[in-house]
Amino acid sequence: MTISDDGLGFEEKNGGDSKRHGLGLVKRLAQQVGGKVEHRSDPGTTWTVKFPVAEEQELETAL
Amino acid sequence: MSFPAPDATSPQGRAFVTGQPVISELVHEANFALPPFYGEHGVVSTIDVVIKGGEKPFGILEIDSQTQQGYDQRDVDFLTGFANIIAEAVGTSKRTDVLRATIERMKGLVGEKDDLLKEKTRLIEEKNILAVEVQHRVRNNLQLVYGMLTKQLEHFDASDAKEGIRGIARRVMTLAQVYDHLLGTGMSRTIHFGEYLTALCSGLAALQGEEKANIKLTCHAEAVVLDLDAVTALGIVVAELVSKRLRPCFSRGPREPSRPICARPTRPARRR
Repeated sequence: MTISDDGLGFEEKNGGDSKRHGLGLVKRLAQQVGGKVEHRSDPGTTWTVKFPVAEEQELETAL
Repeated sequence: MSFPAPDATSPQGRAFVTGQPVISELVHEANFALPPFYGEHGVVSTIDVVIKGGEKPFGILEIDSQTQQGYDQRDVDFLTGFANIIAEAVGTSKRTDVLRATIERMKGLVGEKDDLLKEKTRLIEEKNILAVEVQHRVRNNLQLVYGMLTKQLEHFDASDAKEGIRGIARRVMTLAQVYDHLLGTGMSRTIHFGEYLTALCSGLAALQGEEKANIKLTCHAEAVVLDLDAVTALGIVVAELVSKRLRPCFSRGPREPSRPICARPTRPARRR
């Protein structure tokens, strides 16, 4: 799952306070579903949340 | 009515005990203890054959005569034929009784099964109604809280406090929308994640209000069904990331969007 914008970008080390941006919560919730969060700035920001989908859920999707 | 135990002291008893036909010329049989009616009716000649039953004989078929007959094997065969017809009729009657009893028992079982099926259907319907009722109440309560929080926003001037309340309202709205997308009836735990995501992004755009109306939020979602817990967690992840992405866009003032903020599902990873 990808969330992207064409804003100013997001630098975690430079004013990108994790608590302020709720990133701690985001990372914990992603881990809760067995996933992880990645981001890159170019110069907008793109967040990618990778999480596993069970096979039966994929089957339901195909139906 | 009870009968004495059969023994071989009478023509009938002997036939019953031995299972063999008995021809008797009573005037020559000194060993038999004859029943009184023989003398009363002047019976002097008899022939007895067995009416066969299941495990033991059903009874004896006897011909009595007041004159000497000189019964022989042909008479035995003739009488045995009648005895066999009676035995078959008795057997058929017993089998019919068993069949009738079995049919009655089966009717009872079928009726019981129908009653159980009706009860099962009633319980399922009741469970579905209760489940829907619970879902509606949870959603309505969350929407009530969401309404109170957004109303409260009007009373805050400080942007930090306003943002804090807005963040809580956003999470409440995210949870409330989960209950709008539960699939099927009853206590379903699966959700069409794509449809939920689309509705969530629409709600998030509305929540931002007019002050950020020139930011375009688009959502491209594939059809995938996920578990309730996963959707709840991922919904808040999306809400947090989308809403927080709005802030940097405005740190240098409003502008026309060149590329939309979007929540786009990538190819889901397979669970190994």
